[in-house]
Formats: sequence, structure tokens, C-alpha cells
Amino acid sequence: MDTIRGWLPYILLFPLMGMLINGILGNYFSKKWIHRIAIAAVLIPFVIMTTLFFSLQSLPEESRSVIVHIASWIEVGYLKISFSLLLDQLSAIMVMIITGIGTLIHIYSVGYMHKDSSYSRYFTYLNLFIFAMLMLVLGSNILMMFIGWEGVGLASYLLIGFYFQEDSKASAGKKAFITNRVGDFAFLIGIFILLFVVGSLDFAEIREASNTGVITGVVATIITLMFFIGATGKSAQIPLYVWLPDAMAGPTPVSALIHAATMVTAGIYMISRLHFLFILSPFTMSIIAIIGALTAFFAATIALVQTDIKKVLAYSTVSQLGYMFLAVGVGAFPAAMLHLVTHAFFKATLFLGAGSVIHAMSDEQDIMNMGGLKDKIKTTHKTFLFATIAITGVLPFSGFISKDEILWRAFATGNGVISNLPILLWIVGIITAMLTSFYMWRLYFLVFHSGQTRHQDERVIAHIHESPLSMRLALWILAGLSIVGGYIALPHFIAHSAPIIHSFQNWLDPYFSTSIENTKIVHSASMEAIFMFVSWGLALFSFFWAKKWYFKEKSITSTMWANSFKTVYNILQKKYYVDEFYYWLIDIFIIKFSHKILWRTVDFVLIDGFLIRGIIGWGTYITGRVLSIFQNGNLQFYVITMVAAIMAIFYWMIW
Amino acid sequence: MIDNISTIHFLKEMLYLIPLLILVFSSMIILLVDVFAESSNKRYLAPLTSLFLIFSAISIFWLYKYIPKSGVKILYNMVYVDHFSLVISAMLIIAAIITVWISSDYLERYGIAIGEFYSLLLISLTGMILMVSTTNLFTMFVALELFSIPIYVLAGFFRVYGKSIESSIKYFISGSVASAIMLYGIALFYGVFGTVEFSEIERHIFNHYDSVAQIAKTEPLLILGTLLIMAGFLFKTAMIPFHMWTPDIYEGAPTTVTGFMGFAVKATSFAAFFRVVVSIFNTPSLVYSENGTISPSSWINVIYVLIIITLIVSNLIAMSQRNVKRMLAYSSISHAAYLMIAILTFSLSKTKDSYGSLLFYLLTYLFASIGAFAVLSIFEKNGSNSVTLENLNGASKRSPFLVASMLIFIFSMAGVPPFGGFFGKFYLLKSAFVDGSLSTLVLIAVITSVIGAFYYLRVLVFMFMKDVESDENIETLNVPFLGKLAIALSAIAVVYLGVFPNSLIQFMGETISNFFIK
Repeated sequence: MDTIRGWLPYILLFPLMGMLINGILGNYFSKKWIHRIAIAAVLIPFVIMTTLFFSLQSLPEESRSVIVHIASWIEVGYLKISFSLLLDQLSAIMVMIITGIGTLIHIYSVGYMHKDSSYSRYFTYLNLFIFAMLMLVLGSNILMMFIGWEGVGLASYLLIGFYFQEDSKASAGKKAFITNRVGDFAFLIGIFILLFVVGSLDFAEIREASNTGVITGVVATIITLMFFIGATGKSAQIPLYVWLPDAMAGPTPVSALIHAATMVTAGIYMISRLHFLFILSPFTMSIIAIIGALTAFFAATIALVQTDIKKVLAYSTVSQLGYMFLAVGVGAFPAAMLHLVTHAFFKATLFLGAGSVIHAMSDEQDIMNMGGLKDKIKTTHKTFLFATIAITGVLPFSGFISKDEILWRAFATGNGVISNLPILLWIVGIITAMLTSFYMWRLYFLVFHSGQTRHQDERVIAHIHESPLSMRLALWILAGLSIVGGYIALPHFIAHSAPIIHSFQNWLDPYFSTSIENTKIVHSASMEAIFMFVSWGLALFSFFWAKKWYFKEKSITSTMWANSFKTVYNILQKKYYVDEFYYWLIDIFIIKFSHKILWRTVDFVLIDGFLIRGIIGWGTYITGRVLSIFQNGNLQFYVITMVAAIMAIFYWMIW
Repeated sequence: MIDNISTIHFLKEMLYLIPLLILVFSSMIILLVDVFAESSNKRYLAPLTSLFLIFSAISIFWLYKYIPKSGVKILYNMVYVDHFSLVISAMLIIAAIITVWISSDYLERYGIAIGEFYSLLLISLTGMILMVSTTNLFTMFVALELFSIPIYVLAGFFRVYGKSIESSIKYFISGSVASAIMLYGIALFYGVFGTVEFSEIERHIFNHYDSVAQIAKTEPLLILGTLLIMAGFLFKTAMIPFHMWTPDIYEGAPTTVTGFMGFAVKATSFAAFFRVVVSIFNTPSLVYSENGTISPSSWINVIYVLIIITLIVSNLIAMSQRNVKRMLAYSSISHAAYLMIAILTFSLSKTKDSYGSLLFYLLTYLFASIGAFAVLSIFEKNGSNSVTLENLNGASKRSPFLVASMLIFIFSMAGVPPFGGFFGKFYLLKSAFVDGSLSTLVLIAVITSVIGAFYYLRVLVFMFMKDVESDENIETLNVPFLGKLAIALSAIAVVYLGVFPNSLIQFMGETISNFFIK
């Protein structure tokens, strides 16, 4: 306990120091020292966290929640908000993921960014991100979480627009920031309502209030819906997912760290952290499950036809996040967390692999120009293959275990609001799994197989080379984790015979204990095995289909299909015209309404013209002028005024 | 003949004076160094001065732990050192350090980088610290003169500029009149009671009089004495209508000096006035009428009315100012009104909160005000010694650092969260509001602070939104190292006070000494 109390603040301190040192003095350091400092700033917290993890484990189950009070922050009336950190089962896992994968991606970045002239700026932002993300998961009240929430948003904005010299990339950053603003606004409203109802923002007290019935059903629905809108922004769900594909404008390691492994899962973390609040409202839970399933499905369909390697992975991320929301929506919080962890492993591998491919192809991102890279970049190929198997859900790789868990729970958890929902969710989920398998294998085959490299420029082809050691190192470690990462939680029917292996669930269960009573499982575990084979079979089916089309040269049938379903293909290619639709909305509301009416009429004429210039401006200007007549610079007058004032006051006092 | 015991006693008493002694000796050392140093070495005068100041500050921190809650009376009760005086002294020294850092380059630019400046600053600071650490009207008056006269000289330090000389003379004459008035008040007290010691006077008033009306009938000279002493303080703190010197002097004096006196003179006068109020003026028979209510003709009501006048008039006039230094002069007048609210609150409610809020407000005002003047001193055009709003056009392009810092200072003064000034105002008004009888005052303060936001933010409008017509005029400003350090630290302090106000306001509340709780 005392070790945890003593060491926990340092987890936050190191990234902060790293950011400050590189941010202020970075220009005076050599590149070697910049990345040494930056890596140490993440690696040391990881080491600390690993030891803390074991000391947390050695504590009895019910006291595995340690609050470290650092400072009191706001104390106004009943509102008391402190800077305190909370380490429990949930945040321990998140910190491990953030610092662990964070370290690997810092190491990877050394190789990836070695030519960049803004080296110190890059690592400063990365450390800032790690700091903010740790704040998000370690905060012991919602406000601290919100600071972290905004902090990662800022870091994300800065890193998406890292190459701000290019207009499109700077705009991508702005798009991400503004889209998130919409969600954050709802989040804030939720916080205010919660504060109004509960009178505190501490997780412990909110939990207490939820369990004792202070928060009623309707209020809980409003609050949780607001929080969920916040989550759709940060975690890229319908309707606010549009920023994530554009966020690929940032450097690829950033896409791996922020826009795949960690930041985008903040919404899942938030809902899991506040699960006691969410389960009070079955309505919100159903909405979350539906939105999650729909996002998973639609994003997967878009990913089918994208040709930019990072865009495919981006839509895949959106789709996988949809799975996680599906899981939390049906109350399977540990399953969501498990998928969060495994997804972090294999999606980071995929993105880093994509980065390695892009690096090898001299910044080419179109998969139609790739192909046949299998033998030219061997490490990248192998690790990418492992991660692909993991994401498509083949036993025994990690993705299978977590995805199966989610699908099973989606099917098995009864829904009180819509009775047919479980089966519908399961069908959407299983189709999505099939689509996932297809687009991932399509990506894999188009990049690494399908004949010769199709790039136009001979020099690019000649220049194809394996990435430096630092990048390969990160790839190998992450690929290894993609393979074995899932073993922390085996399926029920295996785990029943070997309960010790099912440790992930056991680890998290104490935190989610209230929710487990509230969500009842209506089907038996033996069905899980059947389901498992169904999804496995569908994944295999997709694999062979993709292999048929893309393994050799790009086959004619695929083009034929694209031609005969031209409308569908175009809609998918254009991402359901959502961006266009949003632009149209913005055009009407912001450009036309705000510009013409709010700015030109209300602000310019009414407020500025009439109120400011008219009443306030002239009125006070004249009063001010009249009053300052007395300020005539004449010393005698000043002294006389003073004496006269004294006489007047004396007259008043003595009367 | 001096025996051992009295020698030890003497040395022990000197221990409490170490911060002052350091300042006195260093002012002499600076003068000597200035005489003998090569002219090329004179740029080391500023670091040397700040070194002495830091020593003095360290000794204050050390004394703080050493001194009991009841304070220490030394030198035959002429000097009284307690936690309150140490906290105020620490703030004054910080103000002096910042001023020295900014001044070193500023003076060089005007070609008057001579040691007298630093020496005078140190002497003035000595007087200020002495003034807040006494409970004796006579020592207080001597200290007042000790810190005022160097300030008069510093105000006229630009001997070649008419405005500077004018401000010096104006300050000197009106200040002398005010001192004379105050001295007359002290003389009246001495005449009535035969003592100048706070506690003695308090005891006499307490024993001999019952109510304000009775005093007015039997001993009207006592009322006059109260009023005259108060008038001296009202002049130094620049409450309307005793403020008229302020704009002219703030405008004419060298900008860094303006920054120093804007805070230091005010803080010192408030601290000393606070002591006088708590000790003498708060005696029940000077406040209450026979039936136990606050007498309509007591000094409390006078201050109450003056605060309202000051809040309204200063903010209205500030709006019509084009000269930023004059505008800040009026702004400092309105800040004085806020501090007066805190003093009123404490004398009515006597809570630790209102005491703490006064000190916290001073602290936020310290960094924001000196910081703002520091930024202006760099923007100032050579040879004009004044900054108009138009001079700030396009400033954000000339030096992003200065403009960002100015933004922080201005926001703090206007009371925008999350900067220190907001919490300063917040805690101050909160404790005034809690007291109940001052809620009208709080309402007026809030409304006038909205008016205040108008002229504060206008500075930012000029800095950010107005561009210079031709691009050739844009020259990037080189901010000297020490100045940059001073401004950056002030800005950080303002932000820190706004983000973590709690621990500091609690600390400030804890510094209350037995002098204030009786």
C-alpha cells in the first residue's frame, strides 16, 4: 500500500518532466538525447507500474483500490475537488497498456522519424500525450479525467497536424479537434448534471450515490446519454467517427499509439469506469449496444473498398471500437476491456507494420501501388501476418478470444428494452467479423502478395528496404503480444476446466461486481463452443474468398464485381457521403446562419454598433471625459480637493 | 557602560532586524560599488542588487519559522515583527526583485544606468518593511517618509523628460501635504492620550469613551485625529477623492518605477492601515453608537461611501483613457477599492477568511500589476516614456512572448478564471458577501468589474486584432534575459495562483498573528 502511495505520482511526473525538458530545451539537444529522454520518460513509468502491479496483486481483493491524494484543487462550498490518483484493477491495466505500448512506439519512432527536422517537437507531443492519457486513467474524479480527456485531445490535434505545412493535414487536425468538441460539450453537460444531482465528482461517491438510489432512472439516462455522446466523439463512433480516418494524416507511429491503441479507447474506459451509472439506465445501454454494432458494421463495409493502407486500418479501428461499445452496451465490461487490450496489441502491430511498409515504399500509401513485398521486407511481413490472423479472429490468436467473448455475451445477455435485440446484435456482429476477415486479408494480400510491386516509379521499387532495428524490435514485441495476449482470458468452456487461466476476468470482476448481478446471462456456456465455430467458419470463408481474388495478380472477378455493383461500390468508396452531409449541415448552420444572422446582424449591428459603440461607448466616454475634467493637471487644485474632502468628511463625522 | 546581558539582548534584537539590515547595508554597498566600478561593469549592479534582495528574502523565510504567533516587540516597542509583517515584506521584496530585473535593461536603454536607482529602491524598500512592522504611530510616520522620499526621487529619475520631473514634483508636494495632514492627526492623538503606541491608545479609548456620539460631543479632536490619519492613508492608497495625483505620477514616472510603486506603495500603506484599523479604529466606541449598531457617522461608513465612489468613478474614467499607463493608474485605484472592501470585511467579521483573502488579493495583484508594467516598459517607444493604445498595434506580431504574458496579466486583473486575479476577487468578495452587511458593496463591485473588463480587454484588442498599416514598421522586439525571466516568472505565478489557489489562501489565512485576533 505504501509503495503504491509513494510511487504512483512518479508515473505521472516522468512524462511531464520529459515533455518539459524536451519542449523547452529540445532545440539544444542532439537527436540521440532527445529520444533517450523521451523514451526514459515512458519506460520508467512502465517499470514502476509493473512493480506496482505486483504489489497491487499482493493486496487482498477488496482493498485493491488505492487513492493517492496529491493536492486539493477547488474548494468552493460543497464542491471539493482534489488532485488525487486512483489505482485499481481497471486503471492498472490501462496504465500498463499506455506505458507499455507507449514505450514500444517511442522506440519505433526513433527509426521512423530519424530524418525529421522537428524531432524534439515530435517527442514533446508524444510525452504530452502519455502524460494526459495517464491523467485520464489515473484521475480519481471525473474532472481530473476530463482534464486528461482534453489533454489527449490537444495532443492528438497537435500530432495529427504535425506536418502543418501541408494544408490538408492541418485541416485534418482541426477536424478532429472540432468533432471532439461536440462530444466534449455533451460530456461537460453530463458532468454538470451529475454534480448537481450527486454534489461530488469523486468516482467513489458517484458509485455510492448510484447504489443507494440517489440517481434515479431518468436522470441516469440523461447523464449517461450525455457521457455516451462524449464517448462517441473521443472513441470515433457514429455519428462522430468522421475525424478518425482523417487523423491518419499524422505520423504513422502516432496513428498506432493514439488513434488505435490508447486514446480512442478512452470512451470505453470512461464507460467502464462509470459502469455503475450506466447500468442504471437500460435504455442508454441498449443505445450503446446498437450504436456499437452499427458502427462496427458500417465501418467494416467502408474498409472493404478503401485503397489507402492507413485508411483501411483506420476504418478497421472504428469497427473494432464498435465491438467494444457493443460489449459495454450489453454489460460485458470485462470483455470490452479484454478486447481493448488485445486490440491495442494487434492494431498497434498493424499500424506499425503499415508504417514500416510506407517507410519502405518511400511514403507511398496506396495499396494498389504495392504488392509482392513479402520477400523484400521479411520482418514487417511476418509481424503483419500475425497481427492479421489475430484481428480476423483465428484461434489461438488474441483477437479471436476477445471477439468471441463479446459476440457470446451480446447473444447471451437478455435485453429488457427490446427483446429481439441480442440475436440482432449477434447477427450484425458475426457479419462484421466476416467482413473484417475479408478486408484484412485483402489488405494483406494486396500489399505482400499479388505478383510484383505495381509502383510506377522504378527508383521506389529499387529502394524498398527493411526498416531499422528500432522499428523491427517494436514490431516483434507487439506481434508476440498479438499472438499470446489473449491467453490472459480464455473462453468460458475452456476456462471452466482451468479457472486459474481465466485471470483477466477474475482480476477485473471485483470492480465490476455490481454490474454482474444486474446483467443476467440467459444461455448456457456450452452454446459458446458452437458459436465459436460459426464465427471461425465465416472468417475462414472470407479468407478463402480474399485469397481467390487477391492472392495472385488482382483478379478480374473483383473488378467485375465492382463494376456490376457500381452504385454500392461508389457509396462505400465515398464512405456513405457522411462527410458531404456534415459539410452541408455546417454550411447551413455555421456559414449561413452564424455568419449572416448571428455575426453580421446580431453581433455587428446590434451588439457592437448599438450597445457597445452607442450606449456604452458614448455614454461612458462622455461620463469619463466629464469626470476627468477634474483631472486637470493643476497641483493646487489637487491639494485643495483633498483638503475640501477632509473638511466635508469631518463635517459628516462630527454632525 | 554596556554589560554582557544587555549586549546579548541587543544582538538578539538585531536578529529580528536582519532583513532590514541587509537592505540598509546593501544600499550603501551598491552606492560604493557604483562609485568605484568601471562603467563597463555597471551592468552587474542589477544582479548584485537582486542577490542582496534574495538574501533578505531568505532571512525572512528563516525568521518566519523562528517567530512565535504572538510576534516580537523589539527596540523598546518601536518595532513589532510578526507573521503578517513578514508575509507583506516577502511580497515587497519579490516586487523589488522583479523591478530590478526589468529595470536593468530599461535604464540602460535610457542611458541612466547608475547605482543610485538601485540604492534608492533599497532604501525605499527598507522604509516599507519598517512601516509594516511597527505598532507605533511615530515609527510608522518616520517609515512612511523613509519610503516616500526615495520614491519621489525615483519618479523623477528621467531628469531629461519634463513629464518625469513634473510627476516627481507633483508627487513630492501633494505627498508632503498628505504627510503633514497625517502627522497632524498623530499629534492630535498624542495630545489627547500622551502616547503614540497602538495598544495604549486603544486602551485609553476603550476605557474613557462609550460611543461615537459621545466622542463627538466630548472630544471632537479625537474624531479629527482619526480622520486625518485616515486621510493620510487614503492618499497613499489613492482612494477617490484623494487619488488625483495618481494618473499624472503613474504616467510621468519611469515605467518600471510605476510598476514598483503601483504595488509596493499600495501594499505597504494598506498593511499599515490594516494595523491601525485593527488596533485603534476598531475600538467599539469608535464604531458603534449607543444602541450597539454601527454609527452612521463612524469611519466605517466614510470608507464604505468612498469605496462605492472609487469603484464607480475610477472604472468610468479608465474607459476613456488612451494612455495605457494612465489607464492602469485608474485600474490600480479600483484595485485599492477592492482591498478596502477586504479591510472593511475584516473589521466587521474578524474572520480568518477575510484576512487571508486580503493577503491573497495583494499577492495576485503583485504579479499581475508589476508584470503588466514590465511588459509596457519593453513596448515603450524610446524617448516618449509613455505607451498609448495605438503603440500596441500589432504587438502580437512583434513579440508573441510579451503579448501572451500581457494576456495573462490583463485577464488576471480583469478577473477571468483560471488566473490568480479571479480567485483574488472571488475569495475577497465571497468573505464580504458572507458577512451580509456588505452585500450591496459586493454587488457594486461585481458590476463595476464588468465595466473594468471593457477597458482591460481593449488593450488585448489593440495587441491582437489591430495591425500596423505597413509591414515595415513591424520590428521584432528583443526581450532582454532578466526581463524575460521576470515576466515569465510573474506569468507562471499568476497562472499558478489561479490553478492552485487553495493551498495558498489557506496558508495566508494561517499567517494571522495574535495582533489580529484578540
